[in-house]
Amino acid sequence: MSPYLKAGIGQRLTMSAVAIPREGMGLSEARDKWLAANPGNRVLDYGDKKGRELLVGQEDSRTVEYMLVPELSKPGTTLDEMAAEMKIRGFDVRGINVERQTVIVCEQILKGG
Amino acid sequence: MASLVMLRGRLRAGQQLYQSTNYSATRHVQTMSVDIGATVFATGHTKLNDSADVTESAASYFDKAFDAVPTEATATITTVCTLAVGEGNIVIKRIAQHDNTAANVNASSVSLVAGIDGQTLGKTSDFSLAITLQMAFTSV
Repeated sequence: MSPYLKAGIGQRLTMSAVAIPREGMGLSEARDKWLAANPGNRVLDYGDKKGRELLVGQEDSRTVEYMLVPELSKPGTTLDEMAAEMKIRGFDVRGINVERQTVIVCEQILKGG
Repeated sequence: MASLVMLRGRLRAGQQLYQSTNYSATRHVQTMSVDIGATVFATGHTKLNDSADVTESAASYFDKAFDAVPTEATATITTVCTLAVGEGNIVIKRIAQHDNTAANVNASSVSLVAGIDGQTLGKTSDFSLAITLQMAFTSV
């Protein structure tokens, strides 16, 4: 039996990052320089503002709190135990809120589908 | 990688909205930072150096005021910060928002509101970098 339910609490923070090359640098040169600057660098898309900007970062996720529901849990289940179990199940647990008796989780926003 | 609104950030949002006890007319969210922090953000974090690898050095973080007054649409606030070619030339792992002026934000300032971690943006002086953060206040 699940020891938690999703609570109706959340804020969503979305990020995008656009790299704008120095004046005079062409698109292909900019792409090559960005990719060469760090092994982890990626180019997700080409921005279209001036035809040479690079979309290099994007993130769409939200903070969600899962509530400990005693009636659905093993007797005596603590918030820490619930958080530990959620981690094992693959949740991106980032903390607990003792006042609200919730476990705080980051969730990706899935697109398409 | 994921984005997170810290507990401090949520409380600050409430304080500003309701003008409760710790409301401040000047401590609104106005600054963005980038840093090399390898530690993912946690709800209890209040400052950048809660990730121990972020120190008071230009090699580990950079902060700057938003380009302009944040814009709004429905229940979403959009903020933009553009790092010039000579600014923030580090391998950016995390991006964050702060409720203090850029002059008052540093690695140890208790100003952290929200952030995104797990990125890899190796910025160099060949590029400026325009970062947009959108905060939506919505039910799940």
